[in-house]
Amino acid sequence: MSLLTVKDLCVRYKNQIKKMEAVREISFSVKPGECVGIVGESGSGKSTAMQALMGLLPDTAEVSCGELKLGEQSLMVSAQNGSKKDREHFEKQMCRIRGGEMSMIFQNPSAYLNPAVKIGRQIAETIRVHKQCSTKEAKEETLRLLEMVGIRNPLQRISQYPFELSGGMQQRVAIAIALACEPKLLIADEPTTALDATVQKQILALLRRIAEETGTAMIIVTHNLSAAAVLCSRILVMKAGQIIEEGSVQDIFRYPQASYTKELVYYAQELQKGAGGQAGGGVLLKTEKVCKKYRNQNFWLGRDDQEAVHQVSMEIREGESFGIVGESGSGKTTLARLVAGIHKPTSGQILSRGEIQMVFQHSYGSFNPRFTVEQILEEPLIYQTGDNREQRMEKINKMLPLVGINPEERKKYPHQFSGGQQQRIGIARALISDPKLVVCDEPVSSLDVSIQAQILELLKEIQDRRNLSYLFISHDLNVIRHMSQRMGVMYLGRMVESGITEEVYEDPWHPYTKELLTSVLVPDPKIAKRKKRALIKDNLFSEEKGCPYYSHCGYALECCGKEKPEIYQFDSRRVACFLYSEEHGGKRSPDYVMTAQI
Amino acid sequence: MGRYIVKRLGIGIISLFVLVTVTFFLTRLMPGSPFQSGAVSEQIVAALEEQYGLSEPLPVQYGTYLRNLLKGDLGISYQKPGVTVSDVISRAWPITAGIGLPAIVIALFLGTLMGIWQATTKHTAVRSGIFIGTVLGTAIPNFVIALVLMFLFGQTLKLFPIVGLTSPAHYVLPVISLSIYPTAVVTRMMKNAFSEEMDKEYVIMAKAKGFTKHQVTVSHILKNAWIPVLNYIGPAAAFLITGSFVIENIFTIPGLGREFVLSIGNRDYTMIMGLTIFMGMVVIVINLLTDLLCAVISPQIRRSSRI
Amino acid sequence: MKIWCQQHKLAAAGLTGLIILTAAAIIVPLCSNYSYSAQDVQIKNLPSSFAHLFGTDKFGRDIFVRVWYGTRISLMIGIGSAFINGIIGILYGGTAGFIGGRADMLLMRIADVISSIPSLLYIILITMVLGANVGSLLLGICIAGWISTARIVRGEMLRLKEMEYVMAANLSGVPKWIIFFKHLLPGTLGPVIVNITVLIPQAIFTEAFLSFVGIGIEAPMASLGTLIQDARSQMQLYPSQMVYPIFILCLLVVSISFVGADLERAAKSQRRG
Repeated sequence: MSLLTVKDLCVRYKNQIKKMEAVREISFSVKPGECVGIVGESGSGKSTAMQALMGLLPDTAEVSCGELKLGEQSLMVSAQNGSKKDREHFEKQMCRIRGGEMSMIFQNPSAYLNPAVKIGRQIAETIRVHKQCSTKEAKEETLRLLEMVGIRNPLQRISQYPFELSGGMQQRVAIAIALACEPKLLIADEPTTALDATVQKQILALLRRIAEETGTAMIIVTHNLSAAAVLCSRILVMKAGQIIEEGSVQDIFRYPQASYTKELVYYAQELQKGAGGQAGGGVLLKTEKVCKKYRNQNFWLGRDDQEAVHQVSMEIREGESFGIVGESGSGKTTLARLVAGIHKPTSGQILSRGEIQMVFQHSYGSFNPRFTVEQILEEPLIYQTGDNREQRMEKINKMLPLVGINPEERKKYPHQFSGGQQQRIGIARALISDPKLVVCDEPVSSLDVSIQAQILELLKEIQDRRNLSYLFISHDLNVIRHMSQRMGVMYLGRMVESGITEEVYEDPWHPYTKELLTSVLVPDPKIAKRKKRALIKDNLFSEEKGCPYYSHCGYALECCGKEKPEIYQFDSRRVACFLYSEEHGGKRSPDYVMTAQI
Repeated sequence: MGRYIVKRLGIGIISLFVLVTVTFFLTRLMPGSPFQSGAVSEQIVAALEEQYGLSEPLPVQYGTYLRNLLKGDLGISYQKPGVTVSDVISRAWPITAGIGLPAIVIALFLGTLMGIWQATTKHTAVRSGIFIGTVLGTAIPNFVIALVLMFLFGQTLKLFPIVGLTSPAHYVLPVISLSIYPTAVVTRMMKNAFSEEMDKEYVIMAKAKGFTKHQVTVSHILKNAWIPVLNYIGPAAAFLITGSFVIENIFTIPGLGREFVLSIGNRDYTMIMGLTIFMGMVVIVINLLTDLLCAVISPQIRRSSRI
Repeated sequence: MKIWCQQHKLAAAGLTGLIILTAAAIIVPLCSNYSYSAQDVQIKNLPSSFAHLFGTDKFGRDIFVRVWYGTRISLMIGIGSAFINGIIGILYGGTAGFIGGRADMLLMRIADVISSIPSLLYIILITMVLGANVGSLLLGICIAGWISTARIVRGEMLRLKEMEYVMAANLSGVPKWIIFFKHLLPGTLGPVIVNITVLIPQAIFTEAFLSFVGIGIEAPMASLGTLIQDARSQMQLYPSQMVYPIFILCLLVVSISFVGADLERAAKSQRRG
């Protein structure tokens, strides 16, 4: 007996010149309490299909469906395009069902919560739409829901606005809203894609717990196979509007049948491999105790100076890749910009030899939309070399094929290229003035998994050919491991650990590093489902005194709350943690080899 | 929040001060003297000027004026003996408010409704119709509209009276003429804001929670979309005050606008000064109040008020 | 060209109107037999005829010629003020936004204070002091007219300054002033142009209304506003005298507004997609 039965669901968009079919006759079913994952790239139609089920698509979409049943009821989604009477009838039916029996959460919680309404009210009003109850009862229920989704101090939170909460908390609130009326089915559309690694893991664990405790069936839509592996028992793979493979999660990973599925699994696992490569040569870049403070933009939250980067010291050698990993707010982007010379540090020194260029996360934003590709590439040459026009054109013609763009397309505008191609153009621009060090700030984070792998390959290739150095920034540990020989971990503006990538990966010394590593999404269902330790609470700001990680740290000592730790160096490893200081480890002989204290 | 209030008040006070100073010196620069109407001999003019303190050096006059101003004394009219400026103002301002306030209220309500209608209707005819309406409403000068209305309804069809303000019927034509421009502006603003909000994700979320279309419109979208309209109240007030010059002139209504135009023609310095300061003050205060109101209502403005 | 006209019906209509009006405003006074001030009491208050296309007014002056003289004045003030306000606004706002920090705050505070005083008061007082002619009207309108443009440019500048392509240009070694003129300013022009198309009708309207009230252009100089005022006293008997200047005035302002509205629509859809 299935909870949801979908047969031949089809979605077409009316507006386009050629009628585009976003979803082509898909059929599937969900059993009560089951957790199904729908995996596919952006544009595969998975989100559109889910919104069609809920009747949330705009009027420009034509929806038709052979059969759609939720429990015993038939949902006439095709009525959306029918007569006025049909539409009204459908709307009435759906208003009852949406939020009541079937609910949905979306990718970007900050956009989906009403910015002008307090959290508590947004939850309570959902309850009152579907149930008859007093304000007091609704409030009690709200508090209960907030506790269930793991938000502490719910009484304080209900009178806050969405912008006062972190991304993870906003998503928890969205989940609370979705669960308010005990739906039978919860659809989660990319619920964790916009969140940090550690928070991703928490939200997935939360969803899992809810599924187990309440028996709610779930459909998880994501482009990240590894995320699906954590939660789901069954996976549907979608491409170009069709379901091309369906199976248990084990089957999909071990024995993928369709070639596209095989590709997805392959790319997910590719990124697990290490970086390889050697670092030789002299020191190219050195930062010494670099700090960057910002005047507070946000007077409502009442702090005067925010330290984006605090006392970071590191070095990069010729031909080497140094990776920096950290979550949002860790200061890694600010550090990248300091190294590149875009901002000046408030204190400390940055010494460098040779030219430094940068590849940005969203290449499209880093191009002047009025410039053609040729103009974009020509600009650095005009201002940094003495070449005349012919020489510049020659360089451009040589560079484009190097990054995989056809030189004949150079008069086109950036918006005419795909995301992956735009990143390639961005790389071309960074390389064209022949720099020694390229800072890559999340260069692949906004791309689909298969394209990610291609771009990273390209970067590696170029590095080998030109003996370039990279400063590679990412929030994705897999990417860092794949790309860098040495790495640093940043937390709230400080570099808490750094060392040789493989070593840090296998044997983390700092408690935060360990926490990050346990959050890594692994495309292997067996490993993914093992229970790991969860973080204690969400905080927006670091404490004033003491180690910034103090409030989350499972190994915290008393001194950790009072003073900030120094950076202790042991061979190639540096750790900022009191566990490794002499006061607490005891005096050691010069030959003592330090090991992990956690 | 407190900092914001203080800042805004500060700007308001400085603006008022600049207003007074600029107006003062500009009026004194005007050629001619208030007493020079008709055949009055030079000696008498000189004597009158001396009596009213107009022969003193400018900075001294300025100081005297400021001192009096702080005491609340706006001086006496040069043209109408025995009448103080304050008298004239207190008589005339309720009349101007009497046509101004209804105009604003109509503009806000009608404009909001039409804006929402334009944004949500499926009939392109309605949409285009309202659109053309707003373009015409913002383009055609209000005195033209007043004259046309006066001609059509007042003179030819004799439906409404066109002189003075003695009965409710007298209010109809002037208020309509005044309110067309702000209504068109509010309609446009509302439509833009509403359309923008309509596309935002939190509206989809509200639908996903199970709200009906109607509930979503009123309780969710409107709250966010109304903010720019609220901001407009300040400029609208300024517009209505200047609009009153014309409308009162055309319909012979004895309000502030008419007094102002007359006093300029008469070179009645104190009158000009007094009226200017009063009107300027009204605009500044309304702007201040709407800014504060916006800050109270919208948490986001509070958050990002590093202007 | 044809496709553009189809897609932008409003702008096409507006531009056509504008071109016709401008042409008439230039040509008619040059070619006409009548001057704008020649009075001939004998032919006063005539209805439209072949000799006097719009008839004559109470002083026997040819209304047709006067209307086009008036249109000239409106166009001069409208376009002239838009030009001046535009340039001042772009430079002031652009500089404020670009430099940022304290200088920006100071510049915008000054603008705030200037703008919190109703500009009509300035204009009236200036025309009183400097006499009522096109020059002083222009001065009056331009004292505070540039502020809305400056605010828009500053806002856009602040937004664009943080864009990554500015950082990229910095990295490429582009000197700051070239970034300002080549990368940043062009991006601000979209909203600015829309803003200017609103300022023009406003300026024309202000002049017409001032002349109407008697504070603007003085007789015998013909401005559309004075024409309407003159005709007003005859409204009971000869309503047609009022119709012509009103009609031309509306046509002028509406044409420009059409162009502006269309530009606004285009700018909005460009921003979306």
